Amino acid sequence: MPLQNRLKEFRAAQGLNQQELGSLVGASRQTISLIERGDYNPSVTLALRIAQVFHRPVEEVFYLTGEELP
Amino acid sequence: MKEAKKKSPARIYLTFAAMIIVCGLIGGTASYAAISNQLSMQDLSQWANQMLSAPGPWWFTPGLLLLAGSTGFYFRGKRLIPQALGDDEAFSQANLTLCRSMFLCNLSMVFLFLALALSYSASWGIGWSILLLILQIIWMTTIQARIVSATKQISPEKLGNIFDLKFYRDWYESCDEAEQQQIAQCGYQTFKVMTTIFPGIMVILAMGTILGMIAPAYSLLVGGLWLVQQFVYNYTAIQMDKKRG
Repeated sequence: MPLQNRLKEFRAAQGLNQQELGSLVGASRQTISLIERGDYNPSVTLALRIAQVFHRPVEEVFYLTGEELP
Repeated sequence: MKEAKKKSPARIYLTFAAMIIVCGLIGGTASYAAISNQLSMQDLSQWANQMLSAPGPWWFTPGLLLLAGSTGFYFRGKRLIPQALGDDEAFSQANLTLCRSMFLCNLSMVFLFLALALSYSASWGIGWSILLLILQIIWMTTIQARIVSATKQISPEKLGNIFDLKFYRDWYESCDEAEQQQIAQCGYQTFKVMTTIFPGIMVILAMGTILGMIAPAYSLLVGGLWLVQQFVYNYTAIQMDKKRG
């Protein structure tokens, strides 16, 4: 099942651009862009770091297609 | 992500058998045609060498054209940098344009070495060849350094100096998990393509050697390169398995 995410939505809500989010989680801007487009599935570590920045549980940021949003 | 398609074993064996038969037929037909036409293979080989060296310094043209294209992409990418620093869409565009610039520059390097070998075997234009060689080296090195510098402006976390022998290592280490995975995928794709090309080239070289058209040293050279590729890939895989075990 493909992994979906709400990264763009949460990032916009926090007023962060890709570069800023990347710096906060230790990833490049390109990687944030790839994750947002669904072209790259992040490692557990990176997914947890991203969720931490948004102060949300990881399953709220990343979810599998077909699953209902929490 | 794509899911791997499952092929039936019968189809795999049939394709493999068909490939072997086709290769055999091509080889057999070529040999028969060569013998029945009483072609002098030595003459043919000599003629091919003369044709290859005839353009002389003109061999530098493809490399220089690629460099011109690379320079065009570089300037286009550079113009996008101020916008890319704040805008995510412009960043992707600038990054892609700089990647295209580096792609053409890397192709140009191969053509430089081809031109080096082929133009100097010509009986004319050696002076031009030297001049064009120097021009291409300076242009290529400059544009490579500028592309890396521009990429560092939009991705400040990137490390490595293009003039440093450890450039590739430093650059790789400054990449994050997604970029390292992308590099690994590119490496694997290259391995896959080369693993298909090498046997074909070896068959052609073997046929050429049998017919007296190609010196056996070429088979040794290509075989050596293939051996290095297989050794590095498999040795690295074993080392990684050991670490995991």
